[in-house]
Amino acid sequence: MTLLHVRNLSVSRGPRQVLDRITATVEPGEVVGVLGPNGVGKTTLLASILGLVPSSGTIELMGRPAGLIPAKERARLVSYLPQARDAAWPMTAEMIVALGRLPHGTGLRAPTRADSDAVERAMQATDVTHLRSRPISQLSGGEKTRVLLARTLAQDAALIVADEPASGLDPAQQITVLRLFRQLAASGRSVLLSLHELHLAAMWCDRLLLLSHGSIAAEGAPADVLTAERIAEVYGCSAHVTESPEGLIVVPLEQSARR
Amino acid sequence: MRAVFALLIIALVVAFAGSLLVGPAALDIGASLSALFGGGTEPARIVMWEIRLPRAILGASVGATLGIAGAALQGYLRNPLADPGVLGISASASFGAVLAFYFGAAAVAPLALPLSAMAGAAGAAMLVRLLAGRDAGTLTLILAGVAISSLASALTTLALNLAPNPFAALEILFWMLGSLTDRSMAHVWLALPFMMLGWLLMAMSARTLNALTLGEDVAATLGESPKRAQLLIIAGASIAVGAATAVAGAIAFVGLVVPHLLRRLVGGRPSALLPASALGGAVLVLLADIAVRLIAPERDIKLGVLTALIGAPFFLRLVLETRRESQ
Repeated sequence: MTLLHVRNLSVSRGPRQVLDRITATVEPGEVVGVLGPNGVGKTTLLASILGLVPSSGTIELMGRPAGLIPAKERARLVSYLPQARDAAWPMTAEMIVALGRLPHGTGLRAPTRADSDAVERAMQATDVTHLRSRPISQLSGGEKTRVLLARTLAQDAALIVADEPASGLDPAQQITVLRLFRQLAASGRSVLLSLHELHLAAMWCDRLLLLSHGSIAAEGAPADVLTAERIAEVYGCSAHVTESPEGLIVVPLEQSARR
Repeated sequence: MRAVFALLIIALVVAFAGSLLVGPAALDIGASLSALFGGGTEPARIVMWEIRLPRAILGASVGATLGIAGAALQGYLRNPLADPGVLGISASASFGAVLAFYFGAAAVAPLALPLSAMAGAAGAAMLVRLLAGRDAGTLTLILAGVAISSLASALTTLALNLAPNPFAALEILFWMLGSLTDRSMAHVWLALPFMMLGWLLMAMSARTLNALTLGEDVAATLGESPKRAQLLIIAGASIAVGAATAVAGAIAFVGLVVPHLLRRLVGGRPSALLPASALGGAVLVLLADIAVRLIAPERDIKLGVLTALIGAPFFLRLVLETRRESQ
């Protein structure tokens, strides 16, 4: 069954139409990338799928209208890694990750075995077990991202929605994060993520949605979406695109005539 | 963390006992205790039951109210500078209470006093939320608090200005300074049930406050409702702080100082900070109230004056710290 099905999703802010009749799907086991220049509505698209931004159109999760699913149950289906990486209080990394178990509990009761297992697995997956008792305020940007990602994983949701999970990470950490998403997909979970790094999108995503001016400019496999012409058209820069044994390689080059 | 709570509870018991044992009436420990449990002389029993016990109960419960309200407001607004005093909630509660005094409602129906103070507090809490908005920055929040405090004090001053006689004005003024002197069991019964209701409402937001550590969006996608937490905290803080202010006047900075001192000790988690700050607030107000009785027994230094003297420099330090962090 299709995990996420979005039909004719539109969002407006005042008189401005931010998203215009977007239709998209995410199947179980897929990593789907949302691309597009700054301000094109990537974050708004993710936020409206999560129900954080009012929208028109339909959003279905596992065939059910998302708005009718109780908040707690929905939190067990979809988890969210926002772009903001700040925590208000100096809680330890482990306490932050454990927040991901909130939708699985009923109160402030002690964590069950399943909770601590999920927290442990999530911390191992993002390699932060050694940071467990450090306050999150003392961690570096990359460490913070990995802790917050572990929090998202501990939620054990079928779909992970991540807003620019690769931003602010060094190349090795970016690859760690995207490899992790591939592993999750291999185990049947799905990831919907926004990205600015075209080379990462080309290499690691199953499918891409390229947004331009609030609507979908192209959709499909990376090789079909990321053509030199389309990159020039949407981003306004020329690009070198080659197939290689490692996968599709995309290198943005010079700024070209603007859209 | 268990050790922190154990220490706080021991400190509370010691401070409560201390509060019962200090006073102008010369009663030694033995006489005090036997009077408390129904023995001793008639005057000793009256001193213990009519003067010292209500004073100690109010000290502990007013302190607990300010501590938990500070922790809850800080957790909800995600800002360590939030506090009923800084946000103008205490000043507005005072204004509500002064209105009840002014129009004589407090004399006709005792309940009018806490209810009017609660209404003032609720108005301020809603106004802060309206002025500062979602995830307000420190500056916006403080400015909103300053604006509301100024408005409330201006209106209170107007009431004083128009007071029918100088004695009424003086009475209101002294009461506003914040004190636990000469409170009776009637004050306890008037305020304690409301304060407890407020504590309960604020405690019900604990889970959501934990989730709010990562922002409103994450809290919502964790299945928590920031709106419900907002309602619980605004209602809880208004009811508890309103009731506390109605019987004790405005006691400043307790809600700011206590959560800040305890936050790291309980691991930063708002759900743990709420009960810890309630205990810590109770201890701090009891100790301050013992101090005003020991420092100058004849001069009746007001409790609110002492907490402000301790709290204001602390507040300044916090502002400097926050500024350093945001640079």
